[in-house]
Amino acid sequence: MTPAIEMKGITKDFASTRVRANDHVDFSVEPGEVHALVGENGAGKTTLMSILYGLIKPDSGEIFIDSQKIRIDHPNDAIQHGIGMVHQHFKLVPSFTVAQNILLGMEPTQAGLLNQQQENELVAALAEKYNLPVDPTARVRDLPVGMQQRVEILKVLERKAKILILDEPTAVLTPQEVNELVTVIRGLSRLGYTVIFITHKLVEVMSVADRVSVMRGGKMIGTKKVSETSIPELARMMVGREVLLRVKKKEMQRGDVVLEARDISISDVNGLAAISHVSFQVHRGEIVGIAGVSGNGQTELVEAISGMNSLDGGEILFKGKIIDEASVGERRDMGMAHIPEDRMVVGLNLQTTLDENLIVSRYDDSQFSRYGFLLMKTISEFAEKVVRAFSIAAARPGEGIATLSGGNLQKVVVGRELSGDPAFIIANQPTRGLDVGSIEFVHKTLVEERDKGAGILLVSVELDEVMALSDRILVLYRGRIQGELDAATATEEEVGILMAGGNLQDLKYAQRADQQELRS
Amino acid sequence: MKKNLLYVLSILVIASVVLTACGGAAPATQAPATEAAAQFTCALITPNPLGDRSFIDASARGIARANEELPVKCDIIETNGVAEHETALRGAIAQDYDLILGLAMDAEMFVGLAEEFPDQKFASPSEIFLETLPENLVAYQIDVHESSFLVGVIVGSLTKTKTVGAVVGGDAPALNQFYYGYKQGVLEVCPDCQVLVSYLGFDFSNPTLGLETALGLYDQGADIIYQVAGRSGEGVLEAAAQRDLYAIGVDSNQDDIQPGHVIVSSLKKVEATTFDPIKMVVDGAFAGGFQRRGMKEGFAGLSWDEGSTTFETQGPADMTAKIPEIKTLVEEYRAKILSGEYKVCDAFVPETPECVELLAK
Amino acid sequence: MNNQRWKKLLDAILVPVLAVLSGLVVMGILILTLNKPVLESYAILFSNGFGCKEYGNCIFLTTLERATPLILTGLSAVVAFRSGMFSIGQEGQYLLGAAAAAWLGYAIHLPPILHAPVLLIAGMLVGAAYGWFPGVLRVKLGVNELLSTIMLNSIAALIVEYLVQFPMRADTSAVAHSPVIDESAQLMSFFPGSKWGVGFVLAVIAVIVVYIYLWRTKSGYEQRMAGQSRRFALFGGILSDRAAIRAMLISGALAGLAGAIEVMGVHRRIMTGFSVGLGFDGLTTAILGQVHPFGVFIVAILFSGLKLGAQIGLQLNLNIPRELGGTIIGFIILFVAAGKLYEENIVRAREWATRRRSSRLKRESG
Repeated sequence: MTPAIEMKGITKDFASTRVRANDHVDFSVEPGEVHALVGENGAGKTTLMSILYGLIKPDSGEIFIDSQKIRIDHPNDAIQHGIGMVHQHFKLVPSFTVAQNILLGMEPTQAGLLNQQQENELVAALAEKYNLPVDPTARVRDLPVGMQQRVEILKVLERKAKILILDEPTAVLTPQEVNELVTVIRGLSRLGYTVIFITHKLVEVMSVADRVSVMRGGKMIGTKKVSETSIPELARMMVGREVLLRVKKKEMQRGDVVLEARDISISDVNGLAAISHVSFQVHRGEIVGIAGVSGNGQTELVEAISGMNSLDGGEILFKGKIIDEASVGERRDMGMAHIPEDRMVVGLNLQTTLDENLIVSRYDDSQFSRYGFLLMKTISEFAEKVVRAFSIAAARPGEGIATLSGGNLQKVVVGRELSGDPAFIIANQPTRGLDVGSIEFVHKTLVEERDKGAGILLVSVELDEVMALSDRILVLYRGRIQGELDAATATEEEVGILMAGGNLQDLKYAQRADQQELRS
Repeated sequence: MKKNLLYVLSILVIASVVLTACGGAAPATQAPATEAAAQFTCALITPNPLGDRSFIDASARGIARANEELPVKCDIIETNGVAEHETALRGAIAQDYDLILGLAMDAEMFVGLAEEFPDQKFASPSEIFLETLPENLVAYQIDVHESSFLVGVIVGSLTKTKTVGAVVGGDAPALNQFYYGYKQGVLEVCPDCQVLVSYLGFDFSNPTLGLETALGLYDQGADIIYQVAGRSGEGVLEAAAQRDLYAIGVDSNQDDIQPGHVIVSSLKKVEATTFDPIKMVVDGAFAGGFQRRGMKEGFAGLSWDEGSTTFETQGPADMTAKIPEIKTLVEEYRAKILSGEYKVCDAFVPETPECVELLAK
Repeated sequence: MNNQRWKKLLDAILVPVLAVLSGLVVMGILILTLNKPVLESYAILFSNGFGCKEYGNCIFLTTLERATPLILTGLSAVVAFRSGMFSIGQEGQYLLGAAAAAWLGYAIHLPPILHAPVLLIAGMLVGAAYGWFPGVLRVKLGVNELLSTIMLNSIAALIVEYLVQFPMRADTSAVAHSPVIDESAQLMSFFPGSKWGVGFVLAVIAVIVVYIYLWRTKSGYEQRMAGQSRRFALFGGILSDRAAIRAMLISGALAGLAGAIEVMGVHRRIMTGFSVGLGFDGLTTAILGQVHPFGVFIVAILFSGLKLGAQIGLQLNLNIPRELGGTIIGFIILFVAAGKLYEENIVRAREWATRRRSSRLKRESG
């Protein structure tokens, strides 16, 4: 069979970063297959796809479509050759309707006038054809992220693409939406479309792809049939060494209560209730996982505990003291650490140096300042120490951090938060957007802290992560705790039911019904 | 966000710099007239850019006249505000001009420079309020009380409401010299007339303020207003046109600004005090110290003296009919004043009998 | 990495140099249209901005003297900007600081060792108070500091104009001014015939102090973090509001000091038209100086030198009208502000050069 796409010897240097993003990469895709392209952040997969889509010009290399050598200088060329791309950050007009977005620039006109009715019908027909139901009249800004992605895919299909490039399509989706997307991709593949799927989540690769290509450090490491490979093998290819995909945990040594929430209520930025009447405890030496679909009050809960936001009611006790009135700084002085979900804006200041990022929570310590002056030498030594202890590659004391990769940035955050021997750690989405190697590092570090006796509140929308790390799982649903599970015995199914707002009685009832059905 | 704001700010800053740079209006009138014959050089330092339509432009006209009529080559150096005055003066000193004219400079600074450079000749076409001056600095003062008296005679003869007004830039002798003379003139020909006055608190650059003040005076029954308020006074002329009433111009000939509404202008010829020291240097008769000039020397006068007929041709018939008669009256008073037979109150010496009498009214 | 740092430094120098060169090219074209000698005008621009011909009339000293208030108002803007406050209130703070110093200069009589410091401190206090106000408005009531400082500038201008016209008016001269301040309150100048003196030294000290404050003290760290990322500061436990108000106090004090020095070292009194947008020029200086104290120092000297050279030097020597001089400065600033243009082209040129080199190497080896 002739490959649908063949890229040969693609090389691209970026002079500004002095990095060879693609180094003689060969890549080919069979028609009608779902081909996953995996690699850690910075492995060069997005560069390769941007070259294919005409966003970046390669320094050398050739591209063939159906064995025909072609030139792609601009996305328009790519579209002409039937290549469409769905970007990680959608390029939709939020205030336009679904139909207007899909037909943008190619609206059917009658005597130069737009016909709303006709547009909606066209899009409805399109949605039916590909089995991607959407409401053509809904405004994009009102749609959930998964739906917006669907609009993007329809937009690409409407432009007669036969080959779809999806750039990290699952990064922004909830688990349910991921499942739906997997179904959509399989459906498209059955209709004869070729799908290239960029990701670093190996579970998704196994569930959706036919073949998988692995890149590392700008080089193509290899291409495998999914049926003939395994997650550990792919992880090894990606990272270049053996990777622990599931951290080993020692038996929990549960200590005293370190943090307690008593009947707390919190409102969001719009003044609506985000958390209502929630109570829980975190002990020393345990990891309490908060599972839940994103937007169920996690952000508000974390901000209230860390002191960045105030409570509407109830009280929070830290080491037995009520801290409702304490400022962020006071809580941090008491031994609270916080790994925030947004490291780019909240957790780090990308405009300043590594040193200054590392002292933000502790510049007031007598260790780092005296008589109002910063002790530059101690600070720089401290930075040196953190860099070494957390092996933050490429980071140098006294230099900026803006060019570091996501994984290294998260190491800076983790390094800062954990270097003060905290008694309690809030870890909110600590591995979001990280690659396999970095995830392993963060997980290992958190478990080490637990073993050293810190209480950890782990907030994550990644079900796997919560299941793997937690000792106890609380499921947050619409601002309430929907249920509590012992991580040792909990199943993904149980957690999933609670995340969706169901309760465990329903599950048991359903199971019993199943069994009865089997028996009869 | 921060970057963007910075960019917006930079653009604003640039725009303002470019605009202020271009907003200086009228280009410098630097006619290098008789370059070959030039023996003497001089430079005029202006306190602000040209284009004030007032004493700076008048002074520049004096320079232009000197370049035309005298064997000199004179330049105009524009500055923008006090911060540049001394720099510009020093720059001019370094250029070895024969005479440096500083218009409305800070008195102490100017005198200090004159003392520092005793071999350099300096002149101030505008008044300097100090006790003494060094020998190499001459400062001019134009007395306007006599010419303002003549304005008062004209106004007193033309008013129908027996109420007239004055809009004065500020309550200071230099400005009251206009006002007192004017008041005396009005009352001389119309003893039962009322003279209203409004001071603007030294705001010389606010035509809107002038306009509103003048409208207030017109509302109180005044039908002719004498403006002594620089740019603010342009608002007074505007108010006259709005109300179809009358005003008097000041400093330079303003009869054509609102034709038919400006009866006459009282001239304070800064062009003459600019020209005069240059001529002194050319004639080899330079002398430091204070120079007072007035109507007698032709440094103050009326626009009618220079042949302005704008009001005569465009004013209402009932008023223009009276003008020949008034002109005769004006000339009678002018002769009496110049001969010393009649004394006009000078606000700089308020203790004289004529002032005491006037201020009592 | 060392190589990288050199390249960065080279870029930092190359960009403004290219910008100034482009400005000079435009200047040449403008001067050609006036039929004036282009090369001579360049020479005059520099000799009249940065030259020093004779004793007692050294223009570069005047440039330094004129740069003094610019440095201080520039620093004022730097401190405010670095806390995330877009205060453009330097003009008002400068004027009020000047008025305070001018008043105390003649109203009270003290021995020299006390009088000058008292005036300087008074100027700073008044400026600080006038900076504190928009800071509090911002923090407590959310009033946009850009708008409030614009308004406060107008208010200050009117207040000072009133003070100079009435209560502080010295005599009846047409241009209102206050009495000359006591000898004991005047700042010494280093050379007769120039006003360059102690004020400039104070400005240099201020540059160093501001640098140390911003990068070596806890308070400076707090305000920079708050200025760069409020969320980050909140997350780290920094009290951003307090840092912002403190920054506004310091910013106001620096602008007030500029006003006091201008009175004590240059004019010895305050008069109508005391500030001709000096506060605003300080803002320009801060932005062009990369919002850094050292940048401000260099830009302030360049800026005042260019102003003298282009607006007065070209007039005096070549009869080039002041408006054209102003236009030339405007263009130079424009090109400096558009520095990004050069940065991108430098990168592009470098990429092109590397590619050429590598392809040549390939050809030679193959």
